[in-house]
Amino acid sequence: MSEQKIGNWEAIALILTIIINHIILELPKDIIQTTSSGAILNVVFISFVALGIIFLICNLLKKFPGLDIFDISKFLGGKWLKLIICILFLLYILFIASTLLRSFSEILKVIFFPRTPIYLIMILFFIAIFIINRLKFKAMARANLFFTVLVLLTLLFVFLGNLENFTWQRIYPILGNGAYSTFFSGLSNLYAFGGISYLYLIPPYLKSQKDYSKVAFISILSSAFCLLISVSTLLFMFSPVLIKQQIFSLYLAARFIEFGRFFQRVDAVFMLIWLFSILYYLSFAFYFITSIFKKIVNLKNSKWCVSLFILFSFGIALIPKNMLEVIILESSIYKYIIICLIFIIGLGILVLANIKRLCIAKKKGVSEINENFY
Amino acid sequence: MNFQEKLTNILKSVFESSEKNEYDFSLSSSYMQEENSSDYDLTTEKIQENQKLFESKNIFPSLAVTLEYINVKYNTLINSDIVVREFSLNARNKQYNAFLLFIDGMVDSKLINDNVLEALMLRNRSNIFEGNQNQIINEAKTNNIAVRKIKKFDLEDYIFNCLLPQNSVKKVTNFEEAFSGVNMGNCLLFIDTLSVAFDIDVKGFKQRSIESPSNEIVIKGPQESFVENIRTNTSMIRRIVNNENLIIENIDVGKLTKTKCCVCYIKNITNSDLIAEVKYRLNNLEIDALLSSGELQQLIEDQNKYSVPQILLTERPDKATKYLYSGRVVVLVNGNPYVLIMPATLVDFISSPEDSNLKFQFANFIKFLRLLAIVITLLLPSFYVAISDFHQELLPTELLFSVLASRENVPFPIIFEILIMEISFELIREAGLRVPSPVGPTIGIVGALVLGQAAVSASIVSPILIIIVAITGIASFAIPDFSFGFHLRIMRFVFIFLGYIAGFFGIAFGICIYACILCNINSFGVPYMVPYGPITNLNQSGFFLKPVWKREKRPDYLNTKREKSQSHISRAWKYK
Repeated sequence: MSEQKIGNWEAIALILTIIINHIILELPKDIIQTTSSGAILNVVFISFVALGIIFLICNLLKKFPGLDIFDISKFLGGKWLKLIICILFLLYILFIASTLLRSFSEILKVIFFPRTPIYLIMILFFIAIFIINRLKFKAMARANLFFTVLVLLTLLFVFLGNLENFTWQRIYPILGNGAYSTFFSGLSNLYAFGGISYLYLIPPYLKSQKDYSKVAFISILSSAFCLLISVSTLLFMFSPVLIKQQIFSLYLAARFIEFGRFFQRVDAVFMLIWLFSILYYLSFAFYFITSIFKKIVNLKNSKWCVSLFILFSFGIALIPKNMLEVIILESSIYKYIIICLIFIIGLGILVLANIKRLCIAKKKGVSEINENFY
Repeated sequence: MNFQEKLTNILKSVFESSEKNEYDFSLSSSYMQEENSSDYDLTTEKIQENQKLFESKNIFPSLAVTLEYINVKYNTLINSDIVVREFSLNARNKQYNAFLLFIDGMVDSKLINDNVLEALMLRNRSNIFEGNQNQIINEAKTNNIAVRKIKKFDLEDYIFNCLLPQNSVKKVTNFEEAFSGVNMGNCLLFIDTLSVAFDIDVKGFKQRSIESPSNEIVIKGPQESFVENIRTNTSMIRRIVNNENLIIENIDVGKLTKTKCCVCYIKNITNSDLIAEVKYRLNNLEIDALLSSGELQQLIEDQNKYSVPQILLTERPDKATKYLYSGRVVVLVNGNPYVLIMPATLVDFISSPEDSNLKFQFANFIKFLRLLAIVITLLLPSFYVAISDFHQELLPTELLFSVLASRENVPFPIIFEILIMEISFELIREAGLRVPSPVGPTIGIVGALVLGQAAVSASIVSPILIIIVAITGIASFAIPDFSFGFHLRIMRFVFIFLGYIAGFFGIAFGICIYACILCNINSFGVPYMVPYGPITNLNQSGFFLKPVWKREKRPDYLNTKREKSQSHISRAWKYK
């Protein structure tokens, strides 16, 4: 593991990549769909809630330095609980990665390759994932850092480049469909911060454990900023009714950017940069899938694990018959899986593990348990 | 065996593979051990304290002590070109122990033999009378009383005036001055009981017969390059480094050829792990013959399966010296005018020795151009293919029309067209290198003008493609390192193919894997993409240069023994 340790910036970029890719695809559109013109307020609200949750997670994980959610669940409920949590996380990442892949491949097909079969596009993704996964994790994280910066810049560029196309009045009514839908039912939009799930997994990979809180807060704050500017771009450009009918809204927004007569259609360049991010997102997802699988079956080295999961994912991604089914999957099932797994099960395990730790400490009559105990 | 164990065994037997036996060397560096950074600082301080304790200013009267001091200072046990010649000096029929200190390759041996050793060692007429007799200068007798004016015998003056028939001899009393002379190519004479040394000018290194560099040309900077003779090369480095802490160790490589290689480093700067690793790799080469530094480069590189170079080659002594002072190791191979510098990062391959000679604004502008050249060399043809085939909307309508019109008469697909031109360009380049020099430029002109023009007229390629290939070719010449340029030329073909099969998607596929591979490479324990991946001290070791007075620290990823290369206020004159 020591050779796989990553620095703070790489870890921040990793979390950002997970969140940004969902932002690029359908996240802002879903948020606007549910909250209408109250979307900006809703994003600010859920960002504060996410920061609160991060504060909680950081404090709960403080007592388990260098341990991921699986090790903590083993401490809490033994190897069976660990096995269950491992399988849940494995299926969650596999499902999310597969649907995202299918969704993005469909978009690529629509935009660039109308005559190419979808599986061929997906195969190219899988080849890249396979090759990248043969390299070291830290190499992946370092390379991802460059592209994350680029992707952040593109989101900013889409916002700034479209300023002249904005209709600022679209922010009214500021509460959208009402306070209830913005703040209460809109709380379900917390799933936008699905990248928090990776915060449960990265502690063993961090070079400096004491910087975990810094990594978590910076990544969530940056993600919140990206989400805010993406939602703002879409909200100010298109009416909520129009957004409902769109796919890949951010790409459509990028098409409106023009500078003089020469740069009139630069959307393909944005696509190129977003492709980097998607490829790294998928590579990370498959890296974590294989590492979870290795934990389950206690494998040390396996060259071919990743290919097995690539095949699985290929199968899963091909299950939906069309783009609409993928969108339904993403907006209905995806949302609740994230809320259940990350915000209920994950937090629950951390809280219970802390209680157990306190009980053990009380029994032993000491104030703190040694790190080696876990 | 229960069900769970059975299942685990089955899974293990299906998926588990043997452990990768990868050689993974890493420098114990500060950024890798952030937690222990305070310990590291302490160690550095301790080293510097110890060094201060060891510093002595004045020459010792005891020859044995002086010799011991010099042995330690110059590391004579491992330094291959430092010569200490001990002998007995004859003066007034008495013998004194003495020794000469000089650097092989920097002195004229004939001068030392004829004008120093012969004069000091052989008995001559002036040496035959008794040792401590006083010299009578004049004598006067009045009333049977003789008044003699005598000069008391002084060994120091006697040797200086009578025994050193050399035109330029200087007496020195402190080691700093003495070592400076030796480093410049002089020879030092130490004699027992004397607390002075004689700095004798016997310089004899090759000077302007050395040719100017042919492949690493600079406008402002030294115009000399390494030659085939290893001793001449070490003397050139010694002369520029001009410091006794430079170590030049000999290692023989090749069972049959026993090719002499020299490992050079500055003892109090370079990381000890790095030195040990370089020597370890050189000492563990099981080959019959080593004929060039290019071969050695391939033999000691970390990951040879990638075409990207991981060791820097240079023919410039000033460049080698600059890297020595930054904490790297330089390896010279006998019979080869190129030396190896290790470790090397991507930033080093796109830096030129010219950069530090220019004002930082000029240097950074050129560096930016070089970055642009890399992007063009690597990606321009593939972007052309991708845009023409998949993303036509990127082009403004008028330009798109003109591109399409220019391709109207070309019957081939774009990939065929571009491959023809790229391969032709590579052929012209290769032919230009191989043909006798007077014909070389003609080949270029014939290739570029006639072939290009003819190809367009024959509708084999479109005119716009000629522009693309020409710009790519020109950009590839702007890359300062030949090996890295070569690597980019090969990678260009991969990207053309990827751009052809999937447009920007294919290019993104290629760039992602390429970036990940670059981040995966280590050169002697230093990540190849440092200081950007991982991020280290960008202020001091980034690609773009800071003003010369602000380059205070050595690259932190090298974990050198001396962190600073200049004081915080380097232009002290300004604040006095």
